[in-house]
Parts: sequence; C-alpha cells; structure tokens
Amino acid sequence: MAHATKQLLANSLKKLLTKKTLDKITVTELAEDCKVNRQTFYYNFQDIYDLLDWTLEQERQQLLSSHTFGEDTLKNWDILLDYLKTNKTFILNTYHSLAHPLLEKTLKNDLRPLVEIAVSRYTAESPISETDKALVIKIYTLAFVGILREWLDNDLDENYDLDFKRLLPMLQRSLQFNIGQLSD
Amino acid sequence: MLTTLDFKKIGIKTAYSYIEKNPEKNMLKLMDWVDHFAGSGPDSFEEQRAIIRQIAANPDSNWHRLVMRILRDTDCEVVKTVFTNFFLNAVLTGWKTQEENRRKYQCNIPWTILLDPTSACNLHCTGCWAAEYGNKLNLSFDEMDNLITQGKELGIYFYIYTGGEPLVRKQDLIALCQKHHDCIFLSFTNGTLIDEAFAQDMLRVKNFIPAISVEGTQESHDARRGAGSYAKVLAAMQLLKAHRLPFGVSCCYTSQNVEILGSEAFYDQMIELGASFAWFFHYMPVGNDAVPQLMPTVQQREWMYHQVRQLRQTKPLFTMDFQNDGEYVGGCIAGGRRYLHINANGDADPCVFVHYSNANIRTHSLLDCLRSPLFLAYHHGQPFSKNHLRPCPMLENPEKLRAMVTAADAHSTDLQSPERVEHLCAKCDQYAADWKIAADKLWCESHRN
Repeated sequence: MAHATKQLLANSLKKLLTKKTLDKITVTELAEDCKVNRQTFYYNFQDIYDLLDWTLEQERQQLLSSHTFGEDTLKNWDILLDYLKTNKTFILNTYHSLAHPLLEKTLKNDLRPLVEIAVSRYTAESPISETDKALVIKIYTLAFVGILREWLDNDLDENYDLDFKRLLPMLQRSLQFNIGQLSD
Repeated sequence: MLTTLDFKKIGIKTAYSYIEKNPEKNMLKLMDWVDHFAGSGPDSFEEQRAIIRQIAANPDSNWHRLVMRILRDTDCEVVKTVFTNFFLNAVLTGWKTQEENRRKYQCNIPWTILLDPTSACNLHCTGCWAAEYGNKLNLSFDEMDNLITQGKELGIYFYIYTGGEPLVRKQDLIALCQKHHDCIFLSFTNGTLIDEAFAQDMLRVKNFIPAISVEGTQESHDARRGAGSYAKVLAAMQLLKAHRLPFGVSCCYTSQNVEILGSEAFYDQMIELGASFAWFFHYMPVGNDAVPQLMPTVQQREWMYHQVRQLRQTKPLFTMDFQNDGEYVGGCIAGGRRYLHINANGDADPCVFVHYSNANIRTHSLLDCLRSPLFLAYHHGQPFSKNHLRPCPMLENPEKLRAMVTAADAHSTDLQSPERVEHLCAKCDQYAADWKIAADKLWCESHRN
C-alpha cells in the first residue's frame, strides 16, 4: 500500500520533470497530479528531494533488474548511456536544479558495480590487496562520474564529442595496466 | 532552524560521534561541544548547562543513571534527532529567537504550542467531555502545518498534541513530523492506538515522543477508562521499549488517587516499564460538569510537593509537577509566556485549562493571537503571584482570571458547554484561600525564595 502510493508520487515526479526543472515543482502540484492529499505526500516523504532520492533509487534498481550486466564493460556502459538518452529531459531537469548532488550520488551508485565487475576480471589474473582494490574502484568510479558530468554539462548532446568509442577502451587499458603494476 | 551548512559549521558529526560511541565515556566531551555551541551571555542556559555537567561527572546521581538509561535503551538515530531538534533547535537556538521576537513585538512568544488535532477519542472515560463530543471538530493537516510554519518563524520548534485522542489522527501527525523534521513533537495519548505499524513510523520519523496517560494502578486506571485499558497501556509501553523508542507518562492527580501517583512504588513501576519522564497535573475543576471534590486537599497537595522533591533526588525519572514547580519557571507559563493552547476548533486559549479567547487561528495569525487582549493581559499580569507555589490565575488567584477575562471581553471556547468565568472561578475561591496559608509557609521555607 505504502509502496504503491510512493510509486504513484514517483511517477508523477518523473512526468512533471519532463516539463520543468525540479526547483519549479511544488508538493501541491504533485499531490494534485496523482489525486492524493498533501498530507499523503508528507506521510511518505519529507520533501521533494526525499521523493527524488527514492525515485532515483527505484530507477536504479529497475535498470539493474531489467538488464544483465555481464563481463563486457563496454556493453554495460552502453546500457547506462541508453538509459540517460531515453530519460534525457527527466535527467537534465533534475541535474539543473538544487538536487544535482542527489543525481551524482545515484550515478556513483550506478557506476560502482560496473567498475567492480571490470576490476574483478583483471584482479582474477593479477591479485591485489583489498586496500588497493578499494582505491582503484574509487578512482575509476570517480573518473566515470566525471565523464558523465561533462556530458550532462553539455545537455547530454549526442553530437558532443566525448568519443566514447576511444575513451572507454583507453580507460580499460589503463585499469588493466594499473592492476598489473599493483599485483606482485 | 539549522541548515545543512550550519551543521557543517558547528561540526554536528563530532557531537553525533560522542553519542554513537560510548556516550557514558563521552558525556563530558559532548558537554564541551554543547558549551561551545551555546556560547555565553543571556539565554545561553549557563546555569542549566552547569547542572548537566555536574550530572555527567557524577555516576552515582539518579540523574546520571536516568541519562545513561535513556542513551542505552533508545535507538541511536532517535537520540541524535532528539538532541538536534530539542536541545539545539527548540532550546538553544529557538529560545534566543523567541526572546528577540518578544522584545520586537512586545507580547509573549511561547517555547511550545499545545494543539488538539481532534476532539474525537476512541475511549469513553468517566467524566471526560471527549466521549460525548465525538469527532465533530478537527484541525486539518493544512491548518496544523500552517500553524507550525508560522511558529518556526517565531523560533518555536516544540509542539505538543492534546485532545481528544491525538493518535486518532496518527497518519497526519506522522506527516507533520516528516514535513517539520527540524521540530520535536510530543503527544499526550491514552496509548491504545500505539501498534506495530505506528512504532515503525515513529522509528522512521524519529521526532515523535508519546506521553501515555496513566491513572495509577490497574484498578484505578480501568475504573476510569474502562476494563482492559490498563493492559493496553502496558502493551503499548512494552512495544515502545522493544523498539527502543522513548516515552513518558502523564498523570492527573486528584483527591482520589494522589497517594498512589506520588508513591515510590508507582515511580518504581514506571521506571521498570521504561518511562523516561512523568508529568503530573493537578486536577482542575474546569467545565460545567467538573467535580470540585476531586481537587486534592491542601494536605494532599503539600504531601505531593514534598514527595516529588524527595523522589527527584533519588529516582531515575524526570518528573514535573506543573502546579508545584512554578519556582523553576517563574510562575505561570501560559498565555504564550512559554506555551499556549489551540483547541480542535482553532481557538487560541491561553492555557490548556483556561478556555477563554478572543482569537482563532482560522481568522488570526499566530502572532495576532498572541497580541489579542486576553494574551496581552497575561503578558502584563505575569507572574500572578510572587509566591510561585501559587502560580495560576485560575486555581490560586481566581480574582485575576475573572478580571482578565472580563476586561478582555473573551468568550468561552468550551466545545461542549460554554462556562461563565464566574462559574469557573467560584469553584476555586475556597481552595485558593486555603492553599494560600500552606503555600506561604512552604514558600518561606523554600531555598528558592
């Protein structure tokens, strides 16, 4: 019951975020859109940022459950890029608001498992210490977040020349090289 | 209110780390932190902080045992929220803002607001108006939300629900806790509506504390509130304790039960059940159907005065006896001096027991309620006696309430049967005269005098 109401509010938020930025959306508007009272909103969430946080987490889980993220890092990356392209206005209207730290947190959470998959593949051949592994995962996750931020700053423009086709193999080689160096 | 930026500036994480890791060892460090936060000068609670420091340094004191019991038995996240919302927002930050606004607007600005979300109750207790009145009156979510929003602008971060049974509206109360997550909420309740789902909601919001009404023993409790209701109270307390949620009890002492409520055995039982605080209320002969014989006698009240003070030195339970503790708060705290009451019809009453008003939150802003004639009469008249054992303009100084209500031309806001102020105050005249003799003697002997 509570989950269904939350999902209803999340759907409304996603819908409204295709029309305007987060900072322009009010609780009254959201409540009206899904035909509930303001108190129903506040029973479930502290504020719109709280709802957004929950919505992004649902989106993340939805993405994880509807795709198989395998050993092919490039394919994993494509799934994520496709998601961003498909939900472009929703994502950009979130990014261009006071809520961008929440979006970055979600991206980080999205990307870390993908990096972990890649790291595990190389450490299976060249074992490294847990401390080093954690550090490597952190650095490469931040690198991917940085790349995505650059793209978000350019409005997820498909013509913006980030040259993903060359950039990703480059990062992959660098990852493999670093793990090899850290391994005894 | 403290913003995220403020939290960073004041280093709240350091304070939280003391609470998380071995609070017993870190109590004094936490007090250093609080002292730094509070600063110095007026309204920084220097005297109170010194007392807390003494408690922290003395593991043998009953107060130390109380604090440690609360820290040990309460959910850590709830402790952090209560620390932030109550001590930092409502007391250390809010109080200063209230004092500023008091000077600015030349009227009382309260520390807390009591409000009735509903007149409805699920019980039908002997002598209670709510049973007959039913659920005709409610403050809407938006009205309560609006009141709290106005309150925060004046520096008020502490809200107390009365009624009716507030938990009849529990979903709305949780919604208000979430929306105003920088405030602390307390609710008087008969306890019967506290269930697993509500306990989970309380853990989720972390800023809601119940004060369960207890009449004494099972016998006296069930006699008034119906068979089986004491068992429900015990079940509620067990549930709260199991979920590591803080709670207290609220007790109305009358000529019939004062010896039970003031007894050491009752204290021990409440401590055993897990209550952190007990608030005692002297029975007030309010309403056309009141029973003045239920008012404690002079001897009973005097006994309660000594009993509460004595047990306060030994028992790990935070007690307040509102009628006898005026000396700690400068007499009457109503009329907005530290609190006011909003009933389920929106009327702004100066006190939870004084149902007269010139203003309603549906037609007046909170500030205008505080500047209405009856509230200004309280502001100008307080304290109503130099003897703080006679704090009330109704019970101990009935001529004062007569004069104020008449001069302010305030109307009765009693929801069921409007009562003339003369009718109300006449019930207190003899009591006031009798108590004055004992109170003056006690006051002369008191070290506070």
